[in-house]
Amino acid sequence: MRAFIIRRLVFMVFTVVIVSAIVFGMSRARGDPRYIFLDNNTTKEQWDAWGLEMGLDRPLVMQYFVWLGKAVRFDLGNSLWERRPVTDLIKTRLPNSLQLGGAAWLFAMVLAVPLGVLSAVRRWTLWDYFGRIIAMLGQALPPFWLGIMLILLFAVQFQWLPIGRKGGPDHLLLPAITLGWLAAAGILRLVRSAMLEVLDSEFVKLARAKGVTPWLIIWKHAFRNALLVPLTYSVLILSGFLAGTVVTETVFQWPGVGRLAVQAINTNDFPVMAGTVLFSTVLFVLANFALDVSYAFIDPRIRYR
Amino acid sequence: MRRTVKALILAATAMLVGAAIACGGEQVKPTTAPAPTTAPAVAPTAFIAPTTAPAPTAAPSPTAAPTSAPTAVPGPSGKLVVSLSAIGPANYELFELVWPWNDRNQFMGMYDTIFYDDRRPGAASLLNASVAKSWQFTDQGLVLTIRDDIPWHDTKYGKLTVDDILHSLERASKPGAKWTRAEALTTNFKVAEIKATGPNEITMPWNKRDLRWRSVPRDVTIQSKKMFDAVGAEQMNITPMGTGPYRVLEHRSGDIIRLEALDKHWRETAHVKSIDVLETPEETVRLAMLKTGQADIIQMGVPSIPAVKAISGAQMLIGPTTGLDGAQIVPAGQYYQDKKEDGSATGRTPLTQLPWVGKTPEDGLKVRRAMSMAIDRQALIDSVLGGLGQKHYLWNLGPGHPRWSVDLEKKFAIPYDPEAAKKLLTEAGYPNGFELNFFIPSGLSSTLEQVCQAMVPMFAKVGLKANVDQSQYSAVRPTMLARTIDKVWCWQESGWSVDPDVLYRFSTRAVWNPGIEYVEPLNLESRILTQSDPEESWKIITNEWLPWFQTKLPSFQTVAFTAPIAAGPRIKEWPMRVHSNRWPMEPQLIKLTGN
Repeated sequence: MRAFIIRRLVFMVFTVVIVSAIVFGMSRARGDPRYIFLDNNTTKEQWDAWGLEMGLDRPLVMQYFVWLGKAVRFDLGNSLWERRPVTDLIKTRLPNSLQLGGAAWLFAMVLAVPLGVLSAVRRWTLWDYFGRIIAMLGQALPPFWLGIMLILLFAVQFQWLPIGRKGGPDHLLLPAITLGWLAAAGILRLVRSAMLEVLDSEFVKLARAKGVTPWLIIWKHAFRNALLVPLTYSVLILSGFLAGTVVTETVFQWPGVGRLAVQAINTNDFPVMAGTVLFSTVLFVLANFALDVSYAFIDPRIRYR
Repeated sequence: MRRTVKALILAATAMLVGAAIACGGEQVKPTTAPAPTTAPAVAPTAFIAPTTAPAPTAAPSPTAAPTSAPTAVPGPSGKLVVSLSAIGPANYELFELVWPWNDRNQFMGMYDTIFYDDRRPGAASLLNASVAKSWQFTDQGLVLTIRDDIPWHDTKYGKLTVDDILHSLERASKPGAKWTRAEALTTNFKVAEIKATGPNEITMPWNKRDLRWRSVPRDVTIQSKKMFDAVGAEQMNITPMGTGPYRVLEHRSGDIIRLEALDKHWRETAHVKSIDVLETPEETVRLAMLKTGQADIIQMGVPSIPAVKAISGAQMLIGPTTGLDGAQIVPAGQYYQDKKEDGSATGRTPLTQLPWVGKTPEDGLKVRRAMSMAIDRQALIDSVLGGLGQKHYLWNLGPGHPRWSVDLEKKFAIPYDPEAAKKLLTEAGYPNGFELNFFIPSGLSSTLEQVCQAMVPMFAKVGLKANVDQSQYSAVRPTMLARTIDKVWCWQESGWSVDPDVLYRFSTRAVWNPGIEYVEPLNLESRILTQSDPEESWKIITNEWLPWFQTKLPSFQTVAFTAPIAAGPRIKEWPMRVHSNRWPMEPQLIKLTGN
């Protein structure tokens, strides 16, 4: 197990370095970072001065290694747009993304897991059809459209909820539903299909034959064995939420990491671009690592050498 | 199974309750409308256009005694919520102010400038006192007499002094400063020799004086040297502290700016006590906020006018300069300037393979004229702009500019005549028309996109097949810097200011270029800028610059349009003052029909 963990850690670092190089290169390929300051009257002298200030006189490879060297010390440079440390900007936005992502994930789990189990247990009944419709809608409805429709219905027409922006629990409801529904659709399908497979297995039949209560069969025997795939998917979804969700944050004016990344792309703010993507990468890699390690605890049959 | 369902419901409820508890946060209550008959007139004093914010400035003339707020006027009260597509970064220090947010400091009434322009027709004077109560022009330089009664928002920094002005000019002109007037400052004044020549006097010696000198004291926002020395540049940049009618309580980037009016201001006390400026990128959501009363004022595009009209109680603020914009067609590739200002070769030649450049300049001109004649400007106004626009032919001189007139527009008008356009194309060697890459930048203005899209069938009518490219403006911008752009493109050009400081667009002088370089405008620009009398400059502009432009037609205007601002029913009146440094603001607040 120890060897496995060390191997995975090394692989993690390797992945992050490769991704950082790609991200750094792509952010520079997008254009000269001085565009952010450029207006129609900019003179050559100003242009050259900005280039010196940003270290653009050095070769690209050198610029990357300088950036990487600082990044390992959690110094992602300064935003060209905001003129403050990128880490500060991410730190400011992260709690907002955590709040929204966490709420959306909870919504997805609350909706998908019980409904997925019910759909599998009560196959071909009304519950099953209901669950599958929910899943289909979740996958078919684009989050952008769904968010605006929810706003028009619940915030404008009925005026039950606020339109958006960060605030109390009522501010969180619509964006969480918008973000969580698509994830819930996938989790629901995975839970349903995994449960169907497990419920058909021999050990479950044996448990039934022995007179074990349905509740225990479903939740102790079947669900635990069906958990692996949906859990993997849901954790990856969660890390995606935490890295920021552009569409939902834009529609609901939620000041999260996703909007920060989009703003950075629109303004060619390459330190923030590189910083937010690096942050997302690390998050995903850590989530994968945690998942891999957790498998050994969830399923004792899995042992790592 | 019943037990299973019951357990599921309990579990779900518990999780939801837990989530609700865990996700506590600040509650932002939407503003509620006061009773119409008892509420004081809410006269917003903060901005209208996305990047401009007029501050109420009834500044005295240079010789009048300083005004104080009229004693009969009650203090500021009430709250406004304004929703914009973007609020800009939280930068406030002159060295770091990024275009196009560099003017936000004074537009939002947070800071003051040395003086301001009053460009209203009939205004007593173009230049008006602000921080400087008077000034003198000498052959040696500009001498400013500064007021000594202007307190900083944070009283521990005392009052504004000449040291603050010297510091602000120094920061604005430091190499690498992002301030857009930095070059005008260093060209016009000997920055190193600007000094205090009295307890309340500053002398700014001339360098190579040109007509852009005015933009420097007009646009430089004064910042506290004491604060800079106390907290340093980085902290200064993120801690707005000025002398304007509004102080910034909070600026959360990408989210909100909170402003609070001073109870009494040396220039003019604001009417509205607090203003929340929200960043709301989606226009649909802004409209929803207006409808529910969660926003009192929203930024909108012309295509949203029908939606706003459907909102009960909605109003539109519209005037000749409200969000003024224009659609200009730029046939890029006309790189006719072979030498730069310093005499070195540009290394560029005109792209004569492009029909609108032409194998000969005359052929190219015929094609460009035909393109202009193919545009039915009235149809654009009627169908796309809902009547909110006008035909536009003058380059960079549009409605709202004090020198603009309908007669001037008519003088340089090009008629809509598709048959004549086809004839010109035939004469130029294109009897069957040709294909062209038509770049309509996305991400700039939804109105511009719609206007430009509407031109495609108009071009087709005369045989010009436009292959539309709707890339992001930022993606194509590098080709403008590199002077390699070779498309016909739709430029969002506001025809509101033919100020000398924007004249060198069609030359090698600026880093950015739309795809057109000619020697003649460069020469004209140099003469215009070096006239000491503005009237002489205007003679050159009207007698030489505009005629050259209309004769050579390197590019052409189509329509000018104003983007109205939508206001909710709480806005009773909007006594728009002269802006702190821009074009006249005399819009009207109109109730929409059917409300």
